[in-house]
This record gives sequence, C-alpha cells and structure tokens, in this order.
Amino acid sequence: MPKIGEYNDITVNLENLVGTVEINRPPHNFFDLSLIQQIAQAFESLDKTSDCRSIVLCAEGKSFCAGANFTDGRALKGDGSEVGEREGDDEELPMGHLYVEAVRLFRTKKPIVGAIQGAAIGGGLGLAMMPDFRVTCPEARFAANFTRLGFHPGFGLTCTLTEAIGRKKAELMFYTSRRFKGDEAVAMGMADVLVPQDQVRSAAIELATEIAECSPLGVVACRQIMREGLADRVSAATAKELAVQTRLRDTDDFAEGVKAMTERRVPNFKSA
Amino acid sequence: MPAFGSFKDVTIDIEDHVAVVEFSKPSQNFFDVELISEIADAFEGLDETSDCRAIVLASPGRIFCAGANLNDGRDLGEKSPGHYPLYEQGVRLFRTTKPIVGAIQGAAIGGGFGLAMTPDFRVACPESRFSANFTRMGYHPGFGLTVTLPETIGRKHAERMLYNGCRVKGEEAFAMGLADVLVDGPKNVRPAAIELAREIAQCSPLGVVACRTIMRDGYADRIAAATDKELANQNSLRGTADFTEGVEAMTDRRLPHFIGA
Amino acid sequence: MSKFGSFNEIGVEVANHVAIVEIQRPPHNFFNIPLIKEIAEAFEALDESDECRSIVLAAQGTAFCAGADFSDPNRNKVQSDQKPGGNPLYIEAVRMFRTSKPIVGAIQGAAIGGGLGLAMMPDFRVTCPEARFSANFTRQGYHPGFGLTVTLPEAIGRKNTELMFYTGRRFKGEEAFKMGLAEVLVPREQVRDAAVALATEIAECSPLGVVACRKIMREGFADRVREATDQELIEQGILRETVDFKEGTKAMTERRVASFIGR
Repeated sequence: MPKIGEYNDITVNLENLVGTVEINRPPHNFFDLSLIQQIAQAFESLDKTSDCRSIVLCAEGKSFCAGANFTDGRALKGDGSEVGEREGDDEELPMGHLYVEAVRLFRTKKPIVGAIQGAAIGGGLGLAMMPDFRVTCPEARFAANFTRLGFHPGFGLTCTLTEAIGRKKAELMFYTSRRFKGDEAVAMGMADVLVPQDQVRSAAIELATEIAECSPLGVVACRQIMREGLADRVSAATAKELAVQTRLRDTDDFAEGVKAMTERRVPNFKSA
Repeated sequence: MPAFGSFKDVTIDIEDHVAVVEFSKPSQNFFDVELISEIADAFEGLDETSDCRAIVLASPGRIFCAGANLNDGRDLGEKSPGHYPLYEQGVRLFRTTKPIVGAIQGAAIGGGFGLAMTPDFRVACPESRFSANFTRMGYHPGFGLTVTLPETIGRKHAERMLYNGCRVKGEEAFAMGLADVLVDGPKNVRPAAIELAREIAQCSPLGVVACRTIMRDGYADRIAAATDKELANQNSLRGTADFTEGVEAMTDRRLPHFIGA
Repeated sequence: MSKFGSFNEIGVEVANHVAIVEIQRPPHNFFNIPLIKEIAEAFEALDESDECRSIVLAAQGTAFCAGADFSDPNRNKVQSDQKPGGNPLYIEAVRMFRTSKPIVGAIQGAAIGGGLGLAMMPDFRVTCPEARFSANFTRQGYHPGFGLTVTLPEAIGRKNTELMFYTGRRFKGEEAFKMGLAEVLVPREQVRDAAVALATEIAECSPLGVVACRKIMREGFADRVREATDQELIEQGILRETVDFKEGTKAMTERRVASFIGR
C-alpha cells in the first residue's frame, strides 16, 4: 500500500482510489490538537489528488478513540487537581483551538467511511461522528459520557449526533451518559454497517470502494449539496459547547465527576 | 372527468373519495416533460374536486417508472436561460394540497425514483426497487431527490443511496422508512395504497388539508431550490467525458471507467 | 418521598433527586386549563429546587390523558385583543416547554388528541403494550393542536406524523415504541418504575452538565411550539365553525365514522 506524506501520529495510504488514514496512538488513540491537525492535513491533501475518490478513517489498537488527551498544556490528575500552567482565569481551554481545527475535518470534499473497531467515547465519539458513514462491530462501544464527568458534550456532537440519530436519541445519550454496543449503535443509526470485529476495516474499505466506483464529479457535487452548511453548523455548535465547557470546568461537580470516574464510583454531585 | 380535459397517458378514476391517477407509457413507463405535466394537471384538477379527498399515484406493468426518457434530449436541456421545463413541471407535483399515496409495485429508477418521492406515502412489495443510479452514470441526482430523500429517510440513508447508487429492494425500503407499507406482492400494492388513501379520506377533508399545509410548509420551495442546484450540477456534468462513458457503460452493461473529467 | 407544594389536580413528590408529578383526575385525566397550569407551576418550582434533577410526569388511573375536558368553556377561547397565542390553554401549555430539567413521561394508558400533545411534552416516554396513542383530530373535523405539529415530527419524523394526522389512527404501545413515539417499552405494571429508573439514570449525571446540554439541544424548541400553537389555533378557529366539525363531534360521541361534506 503506497504511503503518502509524513506524519507523527497517523499513517496515510492510497490504493485503488481509496485513501486510508490510520490513527497510530494505540491502544486507546486519545486525541489532542496535534492529532486533529494531522488528520485535517491528510484529508486536505487527499482532496487534491484525483487518485483518491473516497477515504477510510481507521485506528490502530483496541479503541477507535477513547477520548481527549488532556495532557497538552493542561493535565488532570486522578484527584481532579491540575498540573501545568493556566494563562488567566478566563483562558479558553485548549479545546477552543482544537475545535477550530476539528471543523476543518468537516470542510473537505470526498466521502469518508469510519472504521469503528473499538471504543468511541466522549470526544472520541465526536471524531467518530465526523465521517459520512460508520462500519462497526458488536465489540465497539459508543458513549457520550460527558455529563457523567460533570462536563458537557463537545466536538460538535450536539449537532452531528442529533443529525445522525435524531434529537430524542441524542438527548438520551447526553443526559444518561449510557454506553451502547456496536449492534445497538447500528440499530439506532449511529453506525451504518455491522460486521465481525476482524472485518471492520475491510468492510469500510469495501464501502469506500463502492463509492469510488461512481463518478467522482457526481459524488463530490452531490455531497456538497447534501452536507451544505454542515461545517458551519458544527462550528456554531462547538462555539456553544465550548462556552458551557469553559464554565463547567471550574465547578466542584467537574472535579468530583473526574474523581468518581477514576475511583469507579457513582459521583456525588452538588449542582455547583 | 370533464373537469380535467383529456390526457394522453394519464387516467383518473374516483371512487369513495379516492382518486387513482394512473400514468402509463408501456412498457417501462419512462417519463418525459409531457407526462409530468399531465400528472401535475391531474393533481391540480383534483384539488378543485370535492369528490376527491386523497389520491393514489400508480402505473401498470412490472416497472413503476424507469426514469427520464434520455433519448429525447429536448427535455433535459435549457429552453431559455434558467428555464427548465422538466423540473418546472416536476415541482408542480409538490404544490398541490391533497395527500397522495404512491403504489410502487416495481422499479423506480433515477428520475423515476424522484417521481416515486412525490407522494406523501409509499406502498411497496419485495419486488419494488428504488435506485438513485445517477452517479453510476457520471451524472447527478435530480427531481428534488437531494431534498425529498433525506427529508423522508434521513440524511445518512439518503447519502448512501445517492453516493453509491445502490438499489434498495422493497423490504429494505420499508425498514428504512422509504416505504410506509409493505405488502406481499406486486398485485397487492395498488389495493393497499387505495386502502390507506381511504383511511385518510375518512377524516375531515378540511382538517387534513389544513394540517398537510402546515406539515409541508416550505417543502415545495425547498425542492424548487434543490432542483436549481441539481440542474446546475447536471448541466456541468453533462459535458464531461465521464458522463459519456457512464451512459455508454450502462448501455453496454459493464462497469464504467471514470477519469474525473 | 417528600411532598412538594400543594396542588388540587396533581400530586408532587421528590425522592433521590427525582420528582414525580402525578396527574390526579382519574380515570381518564381529561385536561383543562387548571390542570395544565398546575403542571407548569410544579415544573417551575422544581426548576428552583436543588433536590430535583429530573422529573417523571405520570397519571393516576387507566388513561394517561384521554383528551380535552369538553366542559371547560375557556378551552377554546381566544382573548378579545386577538393577538395570536392569546388562548389561555396554550399560554399555560407553552410554560411547560420552557422549564429546564429533563422530564420522563410515564405513559401507562391512552394519550389521545390533546392528551397526546401533553404526552409529547416530556423529553422521553416510557410506555406499555396497552397504551394507545392517537392524534385523532381530523377524525373529528378538527385540526391538531397542543404544539403537536412541532413536537410530533421532532420525535418521530414528518412521515410518521403525517400518517398519524391524516388517518387519525390509534397506535398501540408496541407500534408507538417502534415509531419512536416512546423510548422504552415495558409491561404495564412496570411503567412508573421504569420511568423513575430512567429519570434516576439521568439524575446520576451532573445536573449542571445535563441542564446546560438540554438547553442547547432544546434551543428554540419552546418558541417553535409557541409558533405552532399560534398557527394551530387559527386553523382550529376556522374549522370550529364548519358543518364538518359539528358532524365530527357528533360522530365521535355516537362512535361512528363521520360523514363529512367538505364545508
């Protein structure tokens, strides 16, 4: 498989008109600003070559993407206290810059199939909901567990999840932080294809190939109509999400939520 | 039916407040501008007929509608700047007021699929086929499908159908909400469509029409705006080598070899 | 369980951060303005209480809410200043859509007409096979109300909504569940407990996060409902003057199919 470009945390290949972008931070592929930038870069390069008609986004290791890596500039220890510097009380989270980069992922032209072979949790679910379609397996886990942590959904999920599964089901996921298995995800419309775990990647490539057999100009033009305004809606959504996340970040409930998760117990929230 | 004038390819039959509008162009029911125009005339005439409270759109034979008659280049081209007869007639089908049930007894392909999406509801059987095969041909979806399809089955399913031109059979169509009723075979489709239309016709016509107007608020305008964009894309694609190759490949029954130009 | 406030038409109790607001007009729980007003008041009071993180809306008796109390003369009134939204019932109803904590509906029986409108106000619904869901307005020569032209499509999509409105059909609990009218299906005797269980699951998540998220998710929702009730009210006003409406009401009382004439 011919490799394309040089990246730190992802590998990009191009074969038979399908580009594969593989996240290489096994086993859990936590994301941060740098990873998102690399993926955006890869998508934008693949946009420019007529040798690529569709893209598969996949990941090495156990999880697809188990969440955010908080260690860039602002880390959380197990007890909820922070290390690292804070530039001022009103400083926006690194998330702010991350979400700006994340919106780039929604602005590229070619259809993307996500190969969700394992857990897609929190912001990792946000990344998983970015592709046009998702192939998954019964072993995968989908969860928007922000409110369990005393936090709030992000990565445009208030837009992308709603648009994929409808507002009712999105609300259910957000308010309960429940985990759904891969087969449940397909039944809900959160994923589109269900296969055994060892076939997830090949099935994703198969779907991407099916798309690649259709006329590239027609597909791209059609996708532009279908996804019209999506990137802007995601951008607007992340702005609202970020505002709430910034506010909640300072609450005792957030510290308690993170602590409870580390200690594997039900959190004791105080609404403050 | 004196109120409607005389039609070439469309017949109307009203019974128990249900009007069955049957279009027929044997053997595959390809449509052209005139046919769409006649169906629109029928719908508009029925809007004024108090005997009619609900409509069934149907066709005879194995195939519901195989698509646009591509051999007649007139229909697809621009008559005068910005004036596209086919889609202008098509949008009329979305502007009338009474609920329509489609009896989709067989294949609805390309533009025929677009026509199948004009009714409010669809009755199908396992032999039904829905196929938006435009991109397989180097072309682009039309007939308002970029609005009617996602608004009916959600954007995910719509994108999948439009990007890889897959054929969806009756049972799958029912599972995804593309069809609202699934019956056992082609013979049962029209009676089931009539039955659903009768159920609607038992409800107060004024209430149903008022309600439908609220529910479909802006729908026809969204479709009109969509056909503008679809047409622009279709026009630019019609000049491409990929389109020529796509049509040829379809006629030759082989996989097309696209080059992206 | 601690009792909360004092009401005539409903009972309110709070335990483990879950409030149960119970409609107490059995067996059919027909709604009128005082009932809707009390529910709105209860929700607003619970908004201010840290004891409560989520709400269950339930009903005593066989039906959840079988429709409007026809004996309430103020039900259809439009204020004389004729501003849209001047209907006293819908003013109170929209209040319920403006509160901030998630609500789970325990739909243990029939939700008919305006009663369906009330059932569609909570975020989620738990139901059972014995329940019946019906937007039967057009069977009566009338037009959907209570914001259903917004709440129903936003829950089950436009196609299924149109099917419900144009046919006036009654859907049983299982069908309702399949259509997305309810999110949970359990045996009838478990409906209330299952609703409380879901409300408790929500109550275990951070209240600030849940409320903030719900605000984003429901942005504009109450206003859309308000606009919808304005429009629905106008249509209802027109239809109420028709012969078909009289015939429809009569047919409903006489349990027969109406004989409409389109006027």
